[in-house]
Amino acid sequence: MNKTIEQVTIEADKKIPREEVSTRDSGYGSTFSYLTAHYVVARMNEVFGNCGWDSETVEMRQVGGGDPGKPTAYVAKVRINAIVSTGDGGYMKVVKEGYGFGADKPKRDGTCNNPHEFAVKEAESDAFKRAARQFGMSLGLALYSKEQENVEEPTKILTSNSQPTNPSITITNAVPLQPIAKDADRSGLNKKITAMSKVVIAKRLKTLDELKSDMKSKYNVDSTMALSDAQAGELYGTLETLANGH
Amino acid sequence: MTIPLTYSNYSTLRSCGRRFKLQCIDLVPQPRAVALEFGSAMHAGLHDVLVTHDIESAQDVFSAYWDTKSISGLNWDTERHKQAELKQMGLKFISNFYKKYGKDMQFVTGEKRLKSPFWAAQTIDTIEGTPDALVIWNSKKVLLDFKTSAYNYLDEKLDSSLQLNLYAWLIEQNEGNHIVDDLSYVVFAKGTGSIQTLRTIPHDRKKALALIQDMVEYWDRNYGFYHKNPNACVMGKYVCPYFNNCWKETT
Repeated sequence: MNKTIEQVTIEADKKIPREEVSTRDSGYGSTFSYLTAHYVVARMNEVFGNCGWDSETVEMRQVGGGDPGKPTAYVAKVRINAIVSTGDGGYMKVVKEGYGFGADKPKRDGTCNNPHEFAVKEAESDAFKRAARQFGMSLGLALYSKEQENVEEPTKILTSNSQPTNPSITITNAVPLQPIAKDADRSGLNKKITAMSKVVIAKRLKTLDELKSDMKSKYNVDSTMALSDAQAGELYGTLETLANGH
Repeated sequence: MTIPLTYSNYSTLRSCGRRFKLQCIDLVPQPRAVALEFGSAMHAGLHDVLVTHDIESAQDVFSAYWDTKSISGLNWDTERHKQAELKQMGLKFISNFYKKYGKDMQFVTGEKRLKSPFWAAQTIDTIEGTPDALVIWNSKKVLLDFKTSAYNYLDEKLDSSLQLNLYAWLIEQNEGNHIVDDLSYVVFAKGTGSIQTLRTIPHDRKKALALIQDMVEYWDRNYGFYHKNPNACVMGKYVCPYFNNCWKETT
């Protein structure tokens, strides 16, 4: 069963966990962020399903070197074909292509054991990743933004009730203290309610007064702060449905 | 009862009478265009940043708008990744605009439908419009219009543009306490996330009235005569969303 366009979009545009981003020296005084090919393949499986896509190397060209024992370089072109469901019983093929470059790294003595093998593999995985990034943030597109807003930083939390000895301590995947998490979640939800209300108003679906009146009649409150968590969640869902229906 | 005279309706009538009839009179639905939706989402975000002076809040509004299903459901074809790219561009526009200009602007009014009754022409009952924003900027009341464009607008084109002159007239007609001093076009460059032009011109009421007079005359003369403009559909469906309906009707 292929995933629908919407499912694919949501999954493909998820954030990349910071710990999955590797960096290396670009050679020009800056660092260069990248994802491993293994991670991108795993994400492709999550996004499209294991049988929902394939890739083909449509071009592989040697562009330099290659003398026995000397470094060499290759350029590759990879095409990714993915099949998504259109949601109405039909299917759509989505094709993305990318070029990549690979060069062997010589040993200290300047010679190479398998110059072609490494260069070919590197060119192919580079091309594959450049094709895959076009599907969305989590497949590498996020790394092309300078600010990397779509790379998810590890959660910063306190691990005890006392003041931390090192305030910048970062523990990934640890369970946050309940009250902190609850307040943070609720404040985030209130912000989402505000933003979605403004979308509804901008789309001229309702006025601010109408939204306030709806909230008052349904929950008998004048402010979103007075809503329970369940009511706030429900209100957000209602606003989202309203905005989506446009 | 006639349809309201708005800048958009008038532009459509000028571009092609047949298209005007299909779009504005017969209300033939058309698929919503990506550029149009992007502009709407941007307007929502820019309006918010002028009102709240909070970039994060404005970016939340833009993101919420851009993430709705009405955007995902557009005809992206195989260009789905562009939804994410445009989102990043919109977020940058909002931030760049605020840091460069918006932080010094005080919001007065905007994004409100203004309506003026009009009796001087048989084909017009009301003139209507929704100006983007009237702000106080450098001690002047400046009417803003946000545009997103892949190319540079010529200053002369902006200077002689009817749109802001019409909105200024509507504001002064509707909200008597607001006198518009200057008109300002803010043009965002597609692809870079930067502001490519900010053209501010003094509000010349004499010139504005002459432009509005031309508009009314053109509307009154052409309303009811829905001739097809062959130049407007020279590239067929790639230019006019009503190409197919128009073709059916004429053959």
